[in-house]
Amino acid sequence: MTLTLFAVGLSSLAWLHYLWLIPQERVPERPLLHSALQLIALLGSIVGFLLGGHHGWVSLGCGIPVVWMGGLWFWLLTQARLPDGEITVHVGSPLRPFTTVDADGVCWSTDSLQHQRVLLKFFRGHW
Amino acid sequence: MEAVFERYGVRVVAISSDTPESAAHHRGRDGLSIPLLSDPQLRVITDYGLLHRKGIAFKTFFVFGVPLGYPAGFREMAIPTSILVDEEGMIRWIDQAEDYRLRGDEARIIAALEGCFG
Repeated sequence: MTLTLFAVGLSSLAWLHYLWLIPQERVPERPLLHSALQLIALLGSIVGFLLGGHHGWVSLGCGIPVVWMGGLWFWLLTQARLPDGEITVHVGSPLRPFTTVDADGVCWSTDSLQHQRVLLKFFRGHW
Repeated sequence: MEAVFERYGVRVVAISSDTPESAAHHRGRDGLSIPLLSDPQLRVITDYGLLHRKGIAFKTFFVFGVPLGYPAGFREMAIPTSILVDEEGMIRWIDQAEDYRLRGDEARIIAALEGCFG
């Protein structure tokens, strides 16, 4: 049971540390340490359950969230790779003009960028 | 990076598939001062060839500054891309993310600014 509780703590710690890195924009390109911790937690929960004895139901109850957190971790990593885009502009081409609205609902146009240096960032949106 | 952009006289504009309401919420939550443009119909994103059809949508909340949340399905969104444009409206540099977890690298942006306008 102790082992399973340790596994829950380890998996949670790995997740919390990774999530803590996100707002700081320090997400590791290859999260090997976090993946290793999730694997250790998964193995620990399995061994803990097998050795649980008469506390097996507690180990099972703790093991399920470890499996869920670990499974979610590795599944998200498989989804990380972005598709190859078919970007329609290239270096040396003019910026494609467009109109849209801003966060205040006011019309906005690339005409407002004339004679300015601009970094136009397409991003995935709020999270 | 605000000081860096000021040094090179670069204005930053961001666009996503967020609705204006979501963009306004994002702006307030994160204290953003740059213009956030909305493209909920994905018209501009598609025109630029930056559509990611199977982006993971997250439901997020913050606890003591740590973002907690869970995946809440898939939705269409932009492939994170940075486009640097000069004062004549010509594109000088493009940077695309290969991994949705990684944001634009500061060092790469600074190097691009130095290379284009240094």
